Amino acid sequence: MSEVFKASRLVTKAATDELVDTGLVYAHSIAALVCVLFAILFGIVISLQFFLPDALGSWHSMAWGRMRYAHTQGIMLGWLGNAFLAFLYHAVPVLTGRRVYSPTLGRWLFGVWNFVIMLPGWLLVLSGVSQPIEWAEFPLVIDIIVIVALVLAAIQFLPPFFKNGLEDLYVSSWYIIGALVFTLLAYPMGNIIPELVPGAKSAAFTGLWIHDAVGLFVTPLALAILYFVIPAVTGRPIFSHFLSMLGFWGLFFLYPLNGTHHYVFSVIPMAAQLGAIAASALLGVIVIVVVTNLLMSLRGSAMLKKDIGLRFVIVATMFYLIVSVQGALQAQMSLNKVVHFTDWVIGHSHLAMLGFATFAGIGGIIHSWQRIPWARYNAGALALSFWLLVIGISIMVIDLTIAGLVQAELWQNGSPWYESVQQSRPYWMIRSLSALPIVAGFGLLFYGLCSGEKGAGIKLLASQRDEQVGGNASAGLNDSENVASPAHFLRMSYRVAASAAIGFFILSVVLLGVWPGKELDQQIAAMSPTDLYALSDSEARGRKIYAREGCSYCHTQQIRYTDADIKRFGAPTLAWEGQFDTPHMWGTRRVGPDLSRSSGTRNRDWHLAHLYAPRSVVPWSIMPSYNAFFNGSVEQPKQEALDLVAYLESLGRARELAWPDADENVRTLYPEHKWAQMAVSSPSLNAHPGMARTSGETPVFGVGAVPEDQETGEKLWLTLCAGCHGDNGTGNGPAADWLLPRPTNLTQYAFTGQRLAQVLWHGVPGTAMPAWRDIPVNGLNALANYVKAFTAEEVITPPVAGQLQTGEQVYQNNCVQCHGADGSGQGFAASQLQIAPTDFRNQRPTLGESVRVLNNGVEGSSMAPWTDRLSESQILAVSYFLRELYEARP
Amino acid sequence: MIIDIIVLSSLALALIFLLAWGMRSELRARIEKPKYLFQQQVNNFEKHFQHVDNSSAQEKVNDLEANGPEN
Repeated sequence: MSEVFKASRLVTKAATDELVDTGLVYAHSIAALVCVLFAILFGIVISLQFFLPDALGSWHSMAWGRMRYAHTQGIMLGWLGNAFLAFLYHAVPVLTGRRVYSPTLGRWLFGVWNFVIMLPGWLLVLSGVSQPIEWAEFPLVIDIIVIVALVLAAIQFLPPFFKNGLEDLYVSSWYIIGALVFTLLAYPMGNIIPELVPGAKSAAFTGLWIHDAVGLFVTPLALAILYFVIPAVTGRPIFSHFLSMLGFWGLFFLYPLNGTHHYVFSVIPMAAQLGAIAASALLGVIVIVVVTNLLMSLRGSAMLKKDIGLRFVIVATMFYLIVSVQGALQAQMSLNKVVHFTDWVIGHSHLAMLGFATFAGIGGIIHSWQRIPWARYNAGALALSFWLLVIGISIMVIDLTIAGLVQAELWQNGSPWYESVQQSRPYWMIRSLSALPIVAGFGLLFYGLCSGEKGAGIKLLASQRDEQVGGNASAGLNDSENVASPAHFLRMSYRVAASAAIGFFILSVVLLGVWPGKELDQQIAAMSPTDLYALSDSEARGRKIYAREGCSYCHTQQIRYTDADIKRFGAPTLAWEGQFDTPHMWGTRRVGPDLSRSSGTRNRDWHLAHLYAPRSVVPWSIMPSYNAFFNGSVEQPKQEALDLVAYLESLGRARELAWPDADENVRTLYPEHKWAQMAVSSPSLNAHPGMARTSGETPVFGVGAVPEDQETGEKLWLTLCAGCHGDNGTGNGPAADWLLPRPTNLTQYAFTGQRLAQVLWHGVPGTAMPAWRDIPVNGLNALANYVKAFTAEEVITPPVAGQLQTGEQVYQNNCVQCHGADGSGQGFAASQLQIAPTDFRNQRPTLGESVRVLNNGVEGSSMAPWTDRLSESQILAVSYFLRELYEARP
Repeated sequence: MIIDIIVLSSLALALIFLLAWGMRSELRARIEKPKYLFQQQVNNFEKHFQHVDNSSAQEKVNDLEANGPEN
């Protein structure tokens, strides 16, 4: 039979090549598959770092943020871009009966897309040249080339559509035209404007682009495939062209208006947010119409079981319905309030790009590829790849959706952040495991298209054609030609609708981009403090590093106007706070906590240790190590590390300093504005609620430990404290050597309950000891009891006669200035010291520890060695005396 | 105001489409024409594959059966 088929192939090749440039279908399909394998590899490396954060060591180009940039751009432009182009080279000639504009242009476009956009784009973001804008991560220079490529694509594919009347254009043609025209409009808006305007205004345009990238580029081309492949394979026209056109216009009117739903509960004017929410709900209705029409077109067809391309297309249709209804729901404020920033949204975006769009793209590729007479085709491998991909993507999306709900619950009920990270870990592992069937599926897809007999696809197609249900195209055509033709009316209405769609796009930019910008300008003018300082040079450099490394993809800088956000992160973000942020760093997801009010929550030593070895100070942290910013140790930071820490320490500083004058302006100027009033009603004085502080109300811990406290206390100790203080409290944790002053050796002190409550609740300003006010009081109580148990049993010789009196004399002469006459740590000089002196009434050192401190001082604090002023006997005497100051209390 | 603009303009456009579709039977038929045109085009394109398998390939089979494989 192979001899037979060789002969048939020659005939078919001539017929196909007459119309379709099969070489470009082939080339773009292969490029798409190469790109998707790389993009998924990037995705896997990212996902593994969620539970193996040190897996890549100091390989900086593979750092999380950079890989994340490469992943999303690889999926959107490399994989889907090439898959859609492959399909267009098959579909446009079939739809129009004409070849595309130019084979030579096609080869140029292929070269530009893959070797001037994708390859250098990836290399640039991996080497640190990028922009921190979601779905727009390639740098500006690549953006310019993408715009040129989009112009080339428009020249290549659009002219054949305009040879006939508009009224005869099939819906797939409309989607292709729409995608090519609107992507050309939206791409510069989303990729360039955020680089030109700051803060919330920048975010408003980013919101538009995030949705336009999906709604005006990916979705129309995917739907073009669905509307093309279903009738082509079943041999029957679609159910209703009217409904399909209703869906088309509905989508192009409404998609651009959805953008601001990515920033619900933000400072962007509420009218714009509500407009986007309404458009999202309407869009859900339109999608139901579209999917109903597509599914009705399949009635009675037996081809689903036989045609692999159609199988992918049908699953894409189902994914489209689910993801669109999900999108409409999660834009609504009640659901958005809880699931936004969680993995629910990541599941949603994977369902859109790796579910709906990818299955449509594969359906388009297989459909086109099967019709290349000289291409290999292995139906068995392709069928298996279908099931692997369905299983893999379903597991991933379900897993991420559940993870999102778990995170939402924990975030809403005020659980500590580590709870969310720890409880997400199993879901992140399952997500990584779901990559196995996905990679195997794509591998088999690649194999299925590159193995098997040459022309086997056509051979299979021929046998299917014999079984295909006969179409009624001619009958329908005759019916429609026999009526008094209202072609003119239809043509005019399409022109009106096309103008309206352009109008709606412009409306979206005006209503959701330009107008909110004007409103935000007014807010900034009214609310901004007058003496606002720009970032210092070091902070500005740090900001660039923060952007380059993709920090904003895990840490938002946007506190939403929700109770849960305010309680956890502080006062919600005001527009003026971002007026130097170009582009904005609001972020769209929280793996780590929001950093808007990072200033003052941790000291410089802590930040450096955390950058170098995150798990040394935060044992549960999943942040990748940035040890490339150091010359081999924390003590030798490069300028990059210092700049980045300077930037982190600047976050929220302006807002903190603005209180109370700027807040008073808001109260006066916007008395009726619910959101503005909410922004200035935070109980934490515009700073982070967890900021270390020297005073404030302190909860009273219970007396004594109950048995279950032991387990809770130990868990909290290992989670929060062991990194610095060590597992056994000796102050020798992994990070101890990098912190000044060193963490306290808790075995050498006895503490009153009051002191432990004070330290745990307020932190110790000036040191790396943070406040733990995000931990429930009963948990802190258990932790305090666990800490008390560290105190070493001390057997000491009682002081000799007169020794205590000598010690008191030494204390009065040398120590009261800082530690106070009563040992409370409130001497007259205490307020001038960065770190508060020890309160000996509530904290008793062992005799040995006192002697050690008096001999050596405490590096990093104001406590100097006293060996040049006190004799050994005086040091011993005062050490005895200090013990007398302790007021043993629970 | 923005919500009103979006909802009302979307509904107005949908209503115009629906009214035109409901009131003019010839429009209903005309608006469906592209799907038949496309079907005709795609069927013609797909016929290449059917034609080859059913005619040229069959002729080749007959030829091979009668004369044996070519060297």
